[in-house]
Amino acid sequence: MNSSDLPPPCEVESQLRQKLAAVWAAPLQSAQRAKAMSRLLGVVQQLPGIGRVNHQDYLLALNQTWEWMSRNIDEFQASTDSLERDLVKWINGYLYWRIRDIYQSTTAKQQPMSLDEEVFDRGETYLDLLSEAGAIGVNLYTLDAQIAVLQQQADRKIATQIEAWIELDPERQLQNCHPRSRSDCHCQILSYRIAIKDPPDSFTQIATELDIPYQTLVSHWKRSCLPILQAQARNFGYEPVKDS
Amino acid sequence: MHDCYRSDLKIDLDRIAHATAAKFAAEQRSISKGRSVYLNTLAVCAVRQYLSVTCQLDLDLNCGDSWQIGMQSIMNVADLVIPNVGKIECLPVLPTATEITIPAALEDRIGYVIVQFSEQLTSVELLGFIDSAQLRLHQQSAGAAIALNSVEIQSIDRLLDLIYDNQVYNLQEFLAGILGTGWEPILQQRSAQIDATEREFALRNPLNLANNTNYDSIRDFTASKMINLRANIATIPLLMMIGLSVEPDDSRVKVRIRIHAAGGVPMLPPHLKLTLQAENGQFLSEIQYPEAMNFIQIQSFKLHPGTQFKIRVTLDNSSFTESFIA
Repeated sequence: MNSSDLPPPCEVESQLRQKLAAVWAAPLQSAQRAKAMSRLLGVVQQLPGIGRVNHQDYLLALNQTWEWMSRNIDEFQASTDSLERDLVKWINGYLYWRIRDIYQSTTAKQQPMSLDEEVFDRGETYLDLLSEAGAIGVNLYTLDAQIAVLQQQADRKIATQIEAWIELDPERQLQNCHPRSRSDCHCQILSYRIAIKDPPDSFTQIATELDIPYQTLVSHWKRSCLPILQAQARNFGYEPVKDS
Repeated sequence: MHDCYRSDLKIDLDRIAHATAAKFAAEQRSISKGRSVYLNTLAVCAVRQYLSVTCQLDLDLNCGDSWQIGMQSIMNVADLVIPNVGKIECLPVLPTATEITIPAALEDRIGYVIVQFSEQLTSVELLGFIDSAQLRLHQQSAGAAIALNSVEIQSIDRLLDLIYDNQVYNLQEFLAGILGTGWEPILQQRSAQIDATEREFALRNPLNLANNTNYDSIRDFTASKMINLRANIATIPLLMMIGLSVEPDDSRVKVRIRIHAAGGVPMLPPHLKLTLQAENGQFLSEIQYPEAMNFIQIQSFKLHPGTQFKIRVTLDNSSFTESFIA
């Protein structure tokens, strides 16, 4: 939404006043306060005065600013007769420092996802790779192409191991698990059709083909097959993904 | 669903959300699976951000199956764990979608958040919430498609209600020093070693209690939480204090509850009522004075581990409830 969609200034002022009062009046740690905060943020994030820069990490700085604002709103004090001007000034005061952080590019390194770690043993980081693949500017239409590029370079070890394990079923754990007197409806065939096949078959489709009640099929999958696969997935997931 | 139900809040998807989504998508076997993992990851990031800015929750993404590559590869999963409340599922929908399918193979979800993407994938809008209890009520089976304008889709506010209604503070965790959201320790470890005047200052300062407070009687409490009770047009600042102890050879937890005047206001309003209720709502104890008091309290009671109870503070038509498990 751009600033031209905003109501006239006097209406913005009265909306801000009303929504800020609702936040302040609500008990701390209550649903009432969370709702009031959501409404206030909804108006504040549309204010045209909020600082903006053309940097790929601007939204990171902005998200940190909303988190800060929601935790510190009780400290805010209006000093002039324009609540909009005072709020924007107060928010920009914090946003300015977060924007400084991103220009000094320290922010990405502090993230817990180790996106700055080297990947594929090629001396590149995920963040480098994403910039290369253009994933920063990714949209719904270019997403598949970018995923294809990323997948070509990944070893996809966990997914490959799980697929191989399902196909091999070395201890016949999956094949031996089926609803009573329905040995054809075993977990290996279901795992293939639901977890591996691309696109997967729907439960409705499988239930019709195998002539088994839909609910029986779904609960067999949930209660018997999925736990076996989950245990195995956890097993593979805990192994080091990359040899070093 | 009506438009007024929608959250006006737009959640921006920052570069860390996209980088995480790309990292997970890269590990999948096919492009379509990668695409679904990518969108699931963004949806989870967005809902986490929403709960961070509205409820100040700092949720650990690693607790969910959605953050495990192995789990992503065998299930279509976008779960987010809210401690003390339960698991929610974040359902991504495309800009043009008119209906949504509740995944059939997911269990134990308290509800589903509908997350609609913009074409540019720079932001999302939270379209609404589907309460699992509501689904059961309508005998809607999982796996069926639900139209985005159907009555089963409630306001996202319903999720906020659920979070606070379902929150049960675990006193065993309090005893171990892990306090729930909004709770603060009464006395920092280091201030136990300082002299009485300094200790009084250390207490007075953060809690902002009135001058007539007897600090020695407060010292034995474990944790406190600020409550703003809204009564008519006034907001009354209160401090809920909880004192916990366990005696040797007794597995029961000894609990004391006190409501203190706070925020610089010397006295509690007259007729303020403090109630102890069992899990089923049965009244166990009730304290109310016709005159203004400095504090009111429920004398200590002992509970076996696993026992649930509620503390309710009431003034006229306003009330505030906290739930605990011993």
